[in-house]
Amino acid sequence: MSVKEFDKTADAGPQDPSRHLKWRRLPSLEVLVVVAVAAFVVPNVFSGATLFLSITAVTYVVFAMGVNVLLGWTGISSFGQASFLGAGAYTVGLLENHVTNPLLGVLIGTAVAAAMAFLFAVLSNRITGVEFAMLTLIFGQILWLLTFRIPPLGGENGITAVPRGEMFGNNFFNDKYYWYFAISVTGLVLLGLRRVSGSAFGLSMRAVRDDALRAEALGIRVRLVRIASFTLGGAVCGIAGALMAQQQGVVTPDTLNWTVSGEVLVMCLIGGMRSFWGPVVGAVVFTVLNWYLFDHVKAPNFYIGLILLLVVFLLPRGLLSIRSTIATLRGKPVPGAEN
Amino acid sequence: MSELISTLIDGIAQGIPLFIVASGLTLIYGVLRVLNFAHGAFFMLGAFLSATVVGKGSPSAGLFLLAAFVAAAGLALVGAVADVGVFRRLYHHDHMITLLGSYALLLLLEGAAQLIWGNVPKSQSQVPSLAGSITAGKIQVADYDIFMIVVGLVVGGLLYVLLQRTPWGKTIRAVSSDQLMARGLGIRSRRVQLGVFALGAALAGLAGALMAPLQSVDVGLAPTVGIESFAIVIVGGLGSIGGSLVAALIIGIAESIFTRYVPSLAGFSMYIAVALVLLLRPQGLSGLRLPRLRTARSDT
Repeated sequence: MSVKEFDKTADAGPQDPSRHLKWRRLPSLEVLVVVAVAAFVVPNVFSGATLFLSITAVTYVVFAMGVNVLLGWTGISSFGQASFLGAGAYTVGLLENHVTNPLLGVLIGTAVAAAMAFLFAVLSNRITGVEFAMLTLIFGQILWLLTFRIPPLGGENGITAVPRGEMFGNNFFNDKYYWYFAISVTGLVLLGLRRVSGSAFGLSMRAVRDDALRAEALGIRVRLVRIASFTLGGAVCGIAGALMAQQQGVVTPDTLNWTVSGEVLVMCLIGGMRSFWGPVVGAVVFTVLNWYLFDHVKAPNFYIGLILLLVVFLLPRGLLSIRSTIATLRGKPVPGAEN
Repeated sequence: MSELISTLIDGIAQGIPLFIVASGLTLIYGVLRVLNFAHGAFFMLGAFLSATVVGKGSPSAGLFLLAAFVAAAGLALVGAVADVGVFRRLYHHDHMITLLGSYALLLLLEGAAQLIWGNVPKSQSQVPSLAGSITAGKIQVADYDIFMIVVGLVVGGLLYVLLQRTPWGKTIRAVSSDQLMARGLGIRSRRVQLGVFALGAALAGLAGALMAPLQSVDVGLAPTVGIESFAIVIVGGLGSIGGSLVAALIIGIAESIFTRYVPSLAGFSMYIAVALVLLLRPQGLSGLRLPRLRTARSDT
């Protein structure tokens, strides 16, 4: 953020609480309401392919949230987040018949992804900016190549027949039961991230994003914040990977393809990486769009690229910024639109 | 020993097209401070254009050169349009937005290639007079490898002369070392950026045309070559053309040696090089005593 923008936020002063609805000040409640409504509505409206698509969408919601911890909150651009998605997915794949409890599978997958992200962040501690983005890209490519070369990972075919397991006597093979599991995990992730976002750690991440030098001068340990943020982001991506493996039933090297890392950045951007709900909106919009285009047009990438360009030109702060963008155009900025 | 020498020559020839693509990328970075994700797509379009001009059957040397020229000129045009249509609009945003803009352009160009040329890979036949090989004693070298090395020398030499010995080169160096100051001195930096973007894209297109006879031409080239040229630019140091030459040669030779002697590491040399360089020397090879051919300051 430029100095000018920084001063603008500083001038805004304490925000007038009466301008917001009351429930906006209870962020956890907001998350609970949204997730509960989605959990209830989706299986009653959708079935078959669209229900499956809804599950895909929530796994991407988790993935995008994990990436946005880095991109939107801490200002770290990473082009290798598919590695941590893949770590979660392959862990669940390898555990296939040893762990029948899907929640345990997700937890182990998350731990593996978090450990990997932590190691990577510690080793690349001195590198920031574009070089860091490239290093993550290279790291992702190495892991992607390794999935072909390490025999237990099954090469090009990957690991097939990954079971979803069962809980409370409900076989998750049924999409409807699995939906409840996936949306619960997503809800927990969103609640947790909402808490982190409002915590002192969340604020120091934003301070590092806006101006690392000033943050350092204020006593924030910038490198530690970066490492912690990268680890948290990696862990959340791992959760998404674990869910994806259980949902799809197969894990292939495609999970680690660098285009996956690119797509998730697109999701964050489409929704708006500066707002909490941006990646959620972006992930849902992108998943649905992708699904529709792949069925209906010859070269889907062409249209995705076109739409992305339009978003970049017209709403560089994402779909969720549409209200404040219009207000700014009319000369009446919305207070607290940027967080 | 003779096997080692032919492996080395083969590696150098492999490195040359990588150098040509990467020099375009690093030029663009030096002047615009944009890492252009769409650069691999420029390479891919160059290969498609060349394969289309050559068509079926084996081409004469003249047709082959014409195809390479069409690819370079066509991509110069695409690059100019991309600069005016996309990048110029994004200058005032932060670099993440620009990066995503270039990613969007990559997807757009990939999709466009799919719409124009379809999903079936194209192939381009080799010029008959370049298809053989020369044998000296026990050393065997493919004709096309020698041709590639000559092309690399010519392109590198021309770039050197352009940047160091011409007035336009001087303005390019001025804009890349301090854009604001250059504008203050009356240099039209927008025009320089447009020219550099076209030149960088043309280099990618040329490399695409040179590689077209050696591999099947399909949409998958865009991301692969894009990542390879990123790796070279990082190893060589952002904005340093001399650095990318050295990096491309190192990676080409390493890849060739690995393929011959340690097949299990084939495909990794590039990533190993990047990981080592970034961890040990984040500013890349530039700053070592390399040929003075750079467009960006190393402190940025």
